[in-house]
Amino acid sequence: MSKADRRLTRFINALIANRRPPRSPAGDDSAAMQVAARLRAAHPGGSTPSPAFVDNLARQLREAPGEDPTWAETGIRRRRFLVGGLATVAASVAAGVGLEGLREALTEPASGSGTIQPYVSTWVAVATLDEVTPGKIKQFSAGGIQGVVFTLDGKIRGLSAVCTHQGCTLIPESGQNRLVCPCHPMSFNLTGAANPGDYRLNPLPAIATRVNADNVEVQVPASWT
Amino acid sequence: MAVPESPPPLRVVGTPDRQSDWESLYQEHVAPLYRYVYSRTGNTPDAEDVTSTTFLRALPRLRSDVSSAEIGAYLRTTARTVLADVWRQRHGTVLMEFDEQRDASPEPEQQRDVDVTPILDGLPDNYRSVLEFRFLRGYSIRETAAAMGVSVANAKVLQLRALRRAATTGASYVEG
Repeated sequence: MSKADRRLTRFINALIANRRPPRSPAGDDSAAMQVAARLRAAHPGGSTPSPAFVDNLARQLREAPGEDPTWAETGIRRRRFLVGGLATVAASVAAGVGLEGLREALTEPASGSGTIQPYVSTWVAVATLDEVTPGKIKQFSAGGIQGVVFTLDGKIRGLSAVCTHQGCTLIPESGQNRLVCPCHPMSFNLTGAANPGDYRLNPLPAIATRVNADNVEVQVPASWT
Repeated sequence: MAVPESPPPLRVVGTPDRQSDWESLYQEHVAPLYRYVYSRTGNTPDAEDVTSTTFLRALPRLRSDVSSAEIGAYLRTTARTVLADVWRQRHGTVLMEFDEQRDASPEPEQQRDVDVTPILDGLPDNYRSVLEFRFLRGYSIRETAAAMGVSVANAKVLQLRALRRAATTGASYVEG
């Protein structure tokens, strides 16, 4: 059997054992693999979700981080179509689905919540360079923003230190390169992404940083007094 | 998976009077969406993960004043992007659509198992048989070989050839 044969065989065996198929390049077998998934899905009795799964997902959704369910504001917000470059967006619009923030809905959470960009901003020194040598995390509070600055991949970066779940201020753990929530068993890594845990949380917004002489400055709202 | 003795009631945060909206929407759509996702993953762990991610991503964006069919269509559209991510990240490949026509239909999917007749139709008999034994009945290679009266080595090769043939004959209705 060729290498491709062995890969496809492992893929088939995983499906028939009802396991997640292993990570492996599809090569020329992309269509064959997807046909295999279709065929396996057609076996009798497999396509009904388990009651335990349905209940657990319901609970997960109830505890999901607080984006306002937009139907709570029916009649206030006007129907709005966001047309983007994504084919899937166009498909939804063609299907006549009126949705708020469709573009955001289709954005990977891991791609970040973006950088905090106040309309009117100022730069404030919050650390000295030796407070952000690799491995250290420096907390700050400036311009109404609770944040941290640190060095990651040779660059000085800033992140919001407010948990995207319920707004608790995160505690830096320098040695572990993470920010830990005091309220729930969740933490974020220094890219801002939530580490896997009980909740699926949006990533932390980034904060713009720059170095001025020996100081690390962050860009924060100017209007905060 | 632990089953709670009495799951807490579903609710929309801050709007208790809309509890029934939330719950009925979820209960109506969870099984059809799961079936849709399962038909593209062929295994329970992936189907559960993709269904969860889809609801977590889509639910906060849904509005109660759109039709059930529109909500179903949006959930499937969201699921396709999640599925595409899985295929890209795990296998470096794009997600294919074999029955875009039916998926695009605003009707909720029927309460039935996945129809693979279009995939099996037109295959030579031995190819069709090996796929039926392996995938639809879940026979082991050894059982498949015995049922077909071929050697185990032969059955192993046959299932790969059959699958690859099915993939090419399906190409006329494969998009992407």
